[in-house]
Amino acid sequence: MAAADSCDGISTSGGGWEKTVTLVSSDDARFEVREAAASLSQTVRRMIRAGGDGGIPLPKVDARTLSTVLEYCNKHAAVPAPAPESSSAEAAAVDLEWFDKELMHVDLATLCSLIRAADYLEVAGLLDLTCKTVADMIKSKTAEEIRQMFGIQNDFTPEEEEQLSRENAGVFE
Amino acid sequence: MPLGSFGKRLKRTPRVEDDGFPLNDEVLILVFARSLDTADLLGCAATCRRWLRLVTREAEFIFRLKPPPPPQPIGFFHQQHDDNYSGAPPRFLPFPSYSRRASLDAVFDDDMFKNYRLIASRKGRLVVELHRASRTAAIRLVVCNGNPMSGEVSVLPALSGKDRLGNYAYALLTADDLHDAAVDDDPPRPRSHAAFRLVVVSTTAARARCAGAWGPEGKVSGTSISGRRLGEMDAGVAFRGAVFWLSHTAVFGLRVDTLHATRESRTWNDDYCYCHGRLGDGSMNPSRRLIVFPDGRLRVVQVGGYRDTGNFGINFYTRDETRTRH
Repeated sequence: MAAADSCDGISTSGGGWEKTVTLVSSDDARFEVREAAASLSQTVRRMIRAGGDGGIPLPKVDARTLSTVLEYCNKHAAVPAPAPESSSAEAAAVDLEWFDKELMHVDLATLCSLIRAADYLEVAGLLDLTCKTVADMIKSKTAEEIRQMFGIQNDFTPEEEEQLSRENAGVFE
Repeated sequence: MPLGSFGKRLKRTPRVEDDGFPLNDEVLILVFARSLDTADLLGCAATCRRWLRLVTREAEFIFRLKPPPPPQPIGFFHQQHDDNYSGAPPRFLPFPSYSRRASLDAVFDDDMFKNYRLIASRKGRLVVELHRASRTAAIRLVVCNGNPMSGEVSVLPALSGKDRLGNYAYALLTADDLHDAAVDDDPPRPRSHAAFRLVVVSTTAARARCAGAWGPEGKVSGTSISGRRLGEMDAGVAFRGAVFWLSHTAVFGLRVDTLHATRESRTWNDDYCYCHGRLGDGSMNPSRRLIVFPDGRLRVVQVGGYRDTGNFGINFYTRDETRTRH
């Protein structure tokens, strides 16, 4: 369970001091985060390495979105290196999957904010998760169903629409 | 991942397409690339002008972003024990799914391959050692890249002089294995599917060499392996960021990132199961291989006939010390 991993002999977790960084959202909210979690964002990681003080400004992410992103990062950074074939590693994976699923129970606008934030912050796992969630919503739907679901305006002329349905099969050829 | 110049090109599209959907082109393409099949993409294309433009113009890009289909095995290479020093080329034994084998022979037609030994193969790449017959000569390792049918060959710099290897063990790691090993790049960069790394553990200094071209030597810590054992071991198996080698009495593991070595002793059931063949000196040849199974577990598979009954049998030794027999 809590047995230390013997492999590298250096434990960075477990009640010690952990390095934290401060992230500043577009609406000036400050978030103090473990560096290990914040570094899941390649954008933040580069900024940490570039140095500077007074917090890392993230002008493209609002506080509400950032707090969700950080919830994701904190959870995913906390996962220890997989101990091969131990039941606790399996349990952790199941827990993480559950966490991801719960995190995606948001409305479309929030989901899109998360996608934009994950893209800007370069949090690969979250970008994948959010894009997949939208892709799953699109799956097996007709164009009209997609329009309704996402509130998209049909800006085709009737002629175009007819042509489209006729030539649909040829789009990829 | 920002889409770089690709995204910029899209932004310049002059038409006004306000579909009210709160994702820009770059990100929407990422959504399209996730788990949508062709039928779904056609649905998307018929939704509005912007989506039609994205799907039709960027179709190639969308499909490039999609994860490649799982590779299908097309066959395997085999070199008989007797061939080790005879220089006979390994034979490519194709599965029924693979029909074109004609060009393969051409790869090994080169004079360079006159006297060599196949030492490792993984995911379409082969590592062969040249000029094995003369132990004192420089050892040259050659990696045949990618699809072996392409005939692309990398010759690694010869290890000679003070770099000369004595006995050594080796393992070929492909891009996927390197990803597992999480060898930290700074700055992080995407790895090419063509990337490979050849790990060589040699006795001369109990060191490891990592190579595209030969990288710096590193000292192996944790446990030591005798030279004779190193020379006896087959190619290592990459598993979760480490390489494992099978010897007579143990499994040696080496973390690729830290070069920390472990030794997991285990007694194989030698009285029980032997290979049909015999080695030249008359001793039985227990036929064992380390294999990563599709369920993600590392196992030793032992194949042979039972000595008393002559029946055929396979034993599995799973790494968590439990053993099942079939």
